Amino acid sequence: MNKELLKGTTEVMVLKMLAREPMYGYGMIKNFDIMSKGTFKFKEGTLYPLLHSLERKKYIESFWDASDGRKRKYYRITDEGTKQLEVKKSEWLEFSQALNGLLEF
Amino acid sequence: MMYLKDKRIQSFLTHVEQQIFTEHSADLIKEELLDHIECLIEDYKESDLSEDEAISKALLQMGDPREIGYSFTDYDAMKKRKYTMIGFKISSLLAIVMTLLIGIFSSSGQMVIEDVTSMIPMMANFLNVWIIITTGSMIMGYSMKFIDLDTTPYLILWPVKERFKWEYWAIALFFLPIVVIFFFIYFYEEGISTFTITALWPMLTISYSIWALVFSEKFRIPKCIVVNEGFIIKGRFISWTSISSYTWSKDFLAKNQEHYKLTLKSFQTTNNQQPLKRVIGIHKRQQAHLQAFLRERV
Repeated sequence: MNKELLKGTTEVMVLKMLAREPMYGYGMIKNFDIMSKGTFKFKEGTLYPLLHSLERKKYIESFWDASDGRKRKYYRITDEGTKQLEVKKSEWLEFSQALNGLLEF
Repeated sequence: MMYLKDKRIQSFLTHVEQQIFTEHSADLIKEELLDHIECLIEDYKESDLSEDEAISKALLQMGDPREIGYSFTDYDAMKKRKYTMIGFKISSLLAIVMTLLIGIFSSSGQMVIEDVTSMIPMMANFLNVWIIITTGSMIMGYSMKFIDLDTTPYLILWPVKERFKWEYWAIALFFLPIVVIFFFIYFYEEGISTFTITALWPMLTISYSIWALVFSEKFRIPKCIVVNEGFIIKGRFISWTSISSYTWSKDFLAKNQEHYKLTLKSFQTTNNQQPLKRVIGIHKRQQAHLQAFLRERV
């Protein structure tokens, strides 16, 4: 996948993933890989700084959990993040419809 | 934490840590990345790799630790800090205005500018606030030039406090008489009452907040960055090709002795035919990363 195409979409992808359930970094990378059938391969150096940046923006929040025997940092979406996801989703739909229209013209 | 004793993992995490500004953030990030590495190792072991192979493969999968560490640098926050700095300047001006108002209307709304003595406290505090503004502006003016760059820098060099311990004493000794005279005359003229203490409080709070924030290492805007073509130091561009040599030294006189000083020598010379030099303070955690850049480009 062209990296330029991925730019600007990673934020919405992470928010969407966390809207399903709270997750930790490694789990997210695996899920992206499985759900996109290998198209979206997130690098660790991309995902973690992005998660920290979304946390600073208060779109997501983190918590440490040790329920499965090891201490692990989980992330979950906030109300602010849910609103942002809706905004980004509608922006993306508008953009993709316009681009599809142009490509099929 | 079961693999933390492995030297390769320790080295990886140390390299990540070196790129993160504060130790507290570094500890949290390290813990999170260690969990990630352990998940990778377990997955590789499940696919029939030995532990040793699994560790090597997991670290290879993680990529360059310095790059990962540096990617946590919050460049957008630095850009936003520009507005905080503008806020400082406005607050400083407000503090001056308040000082003037207190000086003029302090005696129950009557003018007290009857002789030179009554002007001293007002002028002393005016001077205090003015020094804060000018020194603060000097620091910010240089630094804010690169904040509006279109390109993302390769490396932002963190601000390093170069102030010596004795400098704090010198500053304190310089300002102490001014502050003491101000308080002495202010309370002598106005008397100690709830009103006079309350009137003084906001002005002192604002002055102190500005001083603390302008001189705080954490809130300062960095003065040097590395871009594709060279350095930008205090708003001036220095290309890689104009640097003839460089030397490292320990900053023994600085407050934190573990910081470094980098001296860049230019092909250009001064009027005395000496090479032009630039000395910049480098945070101990960034020395190795910057050294890698310099080796590659100079």
